[in-house]
Amino acid sequence: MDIENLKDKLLKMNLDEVSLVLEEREKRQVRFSNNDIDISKAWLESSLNVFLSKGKKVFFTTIKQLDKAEELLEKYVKMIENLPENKDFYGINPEKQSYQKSKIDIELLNLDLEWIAREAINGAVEKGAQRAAGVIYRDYVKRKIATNYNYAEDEMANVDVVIRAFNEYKNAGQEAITTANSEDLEDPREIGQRAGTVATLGGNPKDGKEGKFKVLFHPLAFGSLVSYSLNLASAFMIDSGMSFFADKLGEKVFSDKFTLYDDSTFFGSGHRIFDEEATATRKTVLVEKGVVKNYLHSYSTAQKFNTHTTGNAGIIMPIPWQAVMERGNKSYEELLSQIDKGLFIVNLWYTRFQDYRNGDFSTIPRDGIFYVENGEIKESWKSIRVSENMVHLFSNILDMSKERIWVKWWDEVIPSYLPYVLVEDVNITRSTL
Amino acid sequence: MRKILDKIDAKYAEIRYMKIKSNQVVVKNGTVSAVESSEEGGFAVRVINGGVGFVSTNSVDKVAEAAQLAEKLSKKRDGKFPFSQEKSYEDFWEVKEKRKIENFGTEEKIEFLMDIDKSLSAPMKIQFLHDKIIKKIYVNSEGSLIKARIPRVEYYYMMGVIENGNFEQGYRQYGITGGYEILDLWNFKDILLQEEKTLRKVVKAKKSPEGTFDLVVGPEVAGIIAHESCGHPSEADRIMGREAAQAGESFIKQSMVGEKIGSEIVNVVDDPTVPGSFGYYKYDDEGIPAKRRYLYKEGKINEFLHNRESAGRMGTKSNGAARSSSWNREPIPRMSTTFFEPRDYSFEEIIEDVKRGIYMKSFTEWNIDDIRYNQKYVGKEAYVIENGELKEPVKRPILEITTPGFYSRIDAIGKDLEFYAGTCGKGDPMQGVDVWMGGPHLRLRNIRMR
Repeated sequence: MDIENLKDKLLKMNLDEVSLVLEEREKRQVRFSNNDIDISKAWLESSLNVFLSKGKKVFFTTIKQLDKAEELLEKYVKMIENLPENKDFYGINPEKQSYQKSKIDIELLNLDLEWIAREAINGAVEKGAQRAAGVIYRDYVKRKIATNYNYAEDEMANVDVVIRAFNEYKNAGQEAITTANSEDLEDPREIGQRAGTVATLGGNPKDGKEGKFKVLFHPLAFGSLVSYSLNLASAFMIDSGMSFFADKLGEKVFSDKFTLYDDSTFFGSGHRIFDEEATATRKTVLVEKGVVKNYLHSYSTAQKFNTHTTGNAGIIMPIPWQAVMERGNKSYEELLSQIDKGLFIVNLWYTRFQDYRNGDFSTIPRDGIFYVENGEIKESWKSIRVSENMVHLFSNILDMSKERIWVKWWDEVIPSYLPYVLVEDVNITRSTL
Repeated sequence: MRKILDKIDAKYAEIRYMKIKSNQVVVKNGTVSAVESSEEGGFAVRVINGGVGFVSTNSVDKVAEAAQLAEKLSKKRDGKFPFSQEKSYEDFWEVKEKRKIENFGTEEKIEFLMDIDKSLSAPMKIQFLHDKIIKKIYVNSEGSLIKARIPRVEYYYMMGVIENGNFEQGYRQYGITGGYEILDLWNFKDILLQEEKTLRKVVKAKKSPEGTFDLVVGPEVAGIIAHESCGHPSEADRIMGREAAQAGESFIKQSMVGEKIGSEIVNVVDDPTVPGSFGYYKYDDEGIPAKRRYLYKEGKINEFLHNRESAGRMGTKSNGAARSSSWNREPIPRMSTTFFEPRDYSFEEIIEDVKRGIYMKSFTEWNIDDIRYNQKYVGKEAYVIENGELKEPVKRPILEITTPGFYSRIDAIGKDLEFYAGTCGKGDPMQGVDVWMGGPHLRLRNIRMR
């Protein structure tokens, strides 16, 4: 499909601005459980994300029947006349962009995913796991964008390896790594071994206790907190008022150890060179030494907030691409040794907010919850909950490890490059009946 | 589709076609933030041999290629894969809208949402109005051919109020299988005006007292509990470990059918045949007729939710719970409408002998662990009960409780059954499916609240 030609046709239909994003995707997946492969999947898909405007009237659609694209677009162009104005729309980015060079590691396309799954399972079992479940993904996508002002192409591939291993007591350990670079992809057997080691290390977990604890969060666990927070850093959510980042720009609200970026220029699974209105992506400092520095913007939200776009335009609202957090100087072991009585938590899930504005939330630890005494893992826990406030938690960051890991998991953790993070005074609760 | 299917070398194979035509309008704080329409259609081929191969495409030209690839992927594993063998059916089913989706234009939708927006003084408000018409064709190698047309409409809002620096939020989803008669079933303007009133009341309320109380939960809270701690742990694929690395497993084991989970007055049902329900279907996405299922019956674990794969592995037959959220997703065991069966108490009778209690009418934050055992619900609208009477509103009472802990303390069940809509998440890639959840008022004795 020639999207430049299609864009020109649309502009002749009395529209002011057009953005067309064509995505052609070949995705593979292998899912496994109980040490065996359950299903091998493939997706052969293409789609066209369409943005149309006339004055302040705007319309979005995703077309997945490309053979009918022109017919559908003609229909949608007629609809736009009757729409009300969106007073928050200030146009799509008119500035000529210069893009990073597109980068893809084609070696990833030759990987045998079923082999990776079997090796990961074998690794977990070697370390004493009774059973393992997981998923191997490979995504290959070709993107082209055409707007009134810019044209660009991008091509990207990445691989995810997720394995969750269990011991005989159903205690779990999980690894969820992601990479866009075949040289960074570890031996899958070693990934499985790490999950298996955490699962067996837990033994028969005890019911956890309530209280305030110093907690060392694995990058996967902290990735969950960061992923939910980044969505609330979108200017759309700030504008709605439903975010604990709202009205905090320029304020020091978190620990001065905390520096967080959205950075899709970093070559990882969230790498991309343009957003949905062809703005070149960039590294955006969201929090620097505890100070809220930026929100995530499209051209329109940036105009409304009297600032510059951060290259995060999504279909309706600005969205994060890839989280990157500054690291510290100490090793994971050194951070663990700083805990007199506390916890090491590998993963979190089911994060829900009772108060988006102030950041009150809770989330559930899983896949490795260890009670630590005098810097050493003493025992494994189960059945606890982190019942916290996000501002309080980010304010209590004591330190980060010098090691950082690429993590991504299911719908919980966006592609992220994060250290282990030590936080004090974390509130732990549990069921009382 | 049949011709392509017949060429596949398989023990079992199916092709599903799905076309989804949808529209959405989003209004945020007095502005129409988005107007979207889309039409998509695609095919999914699933082939069973030594393993399972699944390939989807949205290109008609690639369906034969997809079938060949699915066959190839199904042979990447060399073993047995016992899908349950089921009867074959040929049928067409549809749900007719009373107020047709196509007759409710974009301008009317915008006018409807803007009218509600203008009536509210809450500083934070977002509304979504979404409709879709789904057409499906299902064929399999056992001879089934099922066609369907399913219209659905949903309405969702988020609202927040601030007073003296304190914030309260509310959000809720409503949905039906049908058309814009949804506007005759619920008066959303009244609902949101009432919500704003509630939030303004709660934001000024004192924190709910801590201690041991009798607890009365409203239908909305009963619904989320039925969904989270009965429906999810009863999904057979979780019980088998198939979802272990994603949404998790279940505290229920296959051998636990018949074991006590709660009070003997408790029945929890999952029923895709409730007319108009958001998750309504006549046949599931594997061509099996829908039916009502008692998940917990008389306080005991009774039945699981099955697709062909889980039924085959457990040596039973599917009970028609296979659902796929789209043409590019595999059918897996899912809920439809999950609810506590009502009994005969009125609300007044439920609270009349409560000396010291908390009434949690609705909820905000909630979560549950990945075996569906430890859960938390935070009240949104809540009141103290004293000597059988509702007293002052209280802010955010917290219930943290285990599944048997909750179900075993139920001693009275109301007759006032209500349903609420939700989008249930599960699967990898994620599959959000439309569901209802509900129940009547429930009373529990001696519950530790925070």
